[in-house]
Amino acid sequence: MPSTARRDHVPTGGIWTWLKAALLPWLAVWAGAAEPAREILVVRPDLPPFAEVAAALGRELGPRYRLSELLVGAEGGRTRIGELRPAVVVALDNQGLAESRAVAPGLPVLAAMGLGLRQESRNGGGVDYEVAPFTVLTRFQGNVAAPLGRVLAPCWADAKEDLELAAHQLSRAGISLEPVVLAKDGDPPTNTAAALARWLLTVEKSGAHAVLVPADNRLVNLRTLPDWRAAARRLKIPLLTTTEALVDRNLGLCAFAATPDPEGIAAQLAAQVQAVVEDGRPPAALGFEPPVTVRVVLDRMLLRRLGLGVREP
Amino acid sequence: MNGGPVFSLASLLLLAVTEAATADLVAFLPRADSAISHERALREDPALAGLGITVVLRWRAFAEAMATSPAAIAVAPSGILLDSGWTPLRQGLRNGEDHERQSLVAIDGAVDLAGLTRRTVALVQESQREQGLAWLTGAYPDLPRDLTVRPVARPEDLLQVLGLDLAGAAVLTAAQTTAARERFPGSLKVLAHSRPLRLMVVACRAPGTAARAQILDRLGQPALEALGLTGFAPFTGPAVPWP
Repeated sequence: MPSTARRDHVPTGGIWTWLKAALLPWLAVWAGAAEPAREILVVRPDLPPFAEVAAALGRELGPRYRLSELLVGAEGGRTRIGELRPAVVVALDNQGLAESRAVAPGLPVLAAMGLGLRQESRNGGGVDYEVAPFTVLTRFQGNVAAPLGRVLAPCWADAKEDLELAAHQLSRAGISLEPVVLAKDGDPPTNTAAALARWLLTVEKSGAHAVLVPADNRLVNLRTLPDWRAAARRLKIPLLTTTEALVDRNLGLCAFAATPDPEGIAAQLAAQVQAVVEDGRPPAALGFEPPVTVRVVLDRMLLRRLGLGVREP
Repeated sequence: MNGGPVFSLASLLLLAVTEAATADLVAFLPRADSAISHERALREDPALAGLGITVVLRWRAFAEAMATSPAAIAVAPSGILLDSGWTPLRQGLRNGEDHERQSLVAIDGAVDLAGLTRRTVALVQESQREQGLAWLTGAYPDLPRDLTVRPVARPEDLLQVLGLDLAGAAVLTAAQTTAARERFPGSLKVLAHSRPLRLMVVACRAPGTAARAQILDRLGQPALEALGLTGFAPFTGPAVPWP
């Protein structure tokens, strides 16, 4: 560090000696002897959750990295970014990803906190926003004293493949996840709602231990909410989700949610940034990974009504 | 209005906050489930009365706490000693032992030790990221060198990265291995046991703070339990995590 080096070279005589002592450390930085901070650009909307992740990312990366932020739609931002030479762009939210393509074309991009980023980010990497079924169900198993041998997962046809992968992961944990395809592209919303309502009536006799409510607004929306709520009142098994808003005492719907932890997302992004910058790995080689660290939200009253106890740490 | 008094008051407040934020003892307990309860157990010990005590569960928080309080003594996993800036002062003991063995485990039946080449191994971050591979290959000398280390912040994340196939193997303590057997019944495979690894150590960075470590020799049982130990002994031997 230049400042430390200056203290080590206390000038003892003459202006030339003083100048050498003051300037040599800076020349060393210029010559590459000391490592300058790596520049990282975060492109994000000007909203609290994204600011929280950006701040945590800065803390995770530490002083060897310098974070600059571009807020989506900020006036003059693109001009200022032109002066930076970021090693990696971190795009938060779909808007951040779109903006990053405009301001920093050709640079490696890591994306997070958006929907459908895998599809949207061609040859990219980053962190998914949706918590994986493996994480939801194993965290439920860790937090709630309940059997969890068989779980049903209603889904749209295009989600079946992902759920089959999740079923494979969960099989190693002794949990059987069964995807139930209720609708496909082209189905009218009324048919989807009717199929869901019919299926929910069959759950009670299925022998399942829980239902994984999908984070899919084609299946969970204002039209289908009454059927979900009726099922939650009728069923003797918990509904589990990745959406915190669905664990609401007034709603009376889901008993448990595992949602992404902002600090955890930042930690995963920091590891990916380091892999790109320090190990030279392209974002595409890293791919997208689901959140590892999650926040757990429980409706204790609902769990008690279902006869399920919460394991205290 | 003259801003002088306001500025002075603000400076005093800032000073007070800074004073409050500094610690004499920083305990980095990555395997603990709660910083608050462990911090309380340490604060209530008469031997530590009047000392500023900070308990952290994550490496990043530990690094930040030590940056804020460079003169603090640290009770931390021995992996920190791979960073040459530390002076080891005391060796933690558990039931008379000064070391433990950890297990390298996988849940994919096709993975073996040699098969970890170019794969990822997860471990709880207990030192700088750059030291992860050195720690791993020191602890498991037979491991291939061509692999990626994935540090995770918390022990529970290890089972997640294994289950999500984000790592081919993970380093677990004996207790974590038992928990992992319950999580992955019939799938968990122990690939290797580590060399003996030092238990928690007491260390310092700033010269002149070593004498403070003596107070830890007087700790009562609840405080020692909070640290996951049963006592301390003088530190001897090479300053690396394995004796």
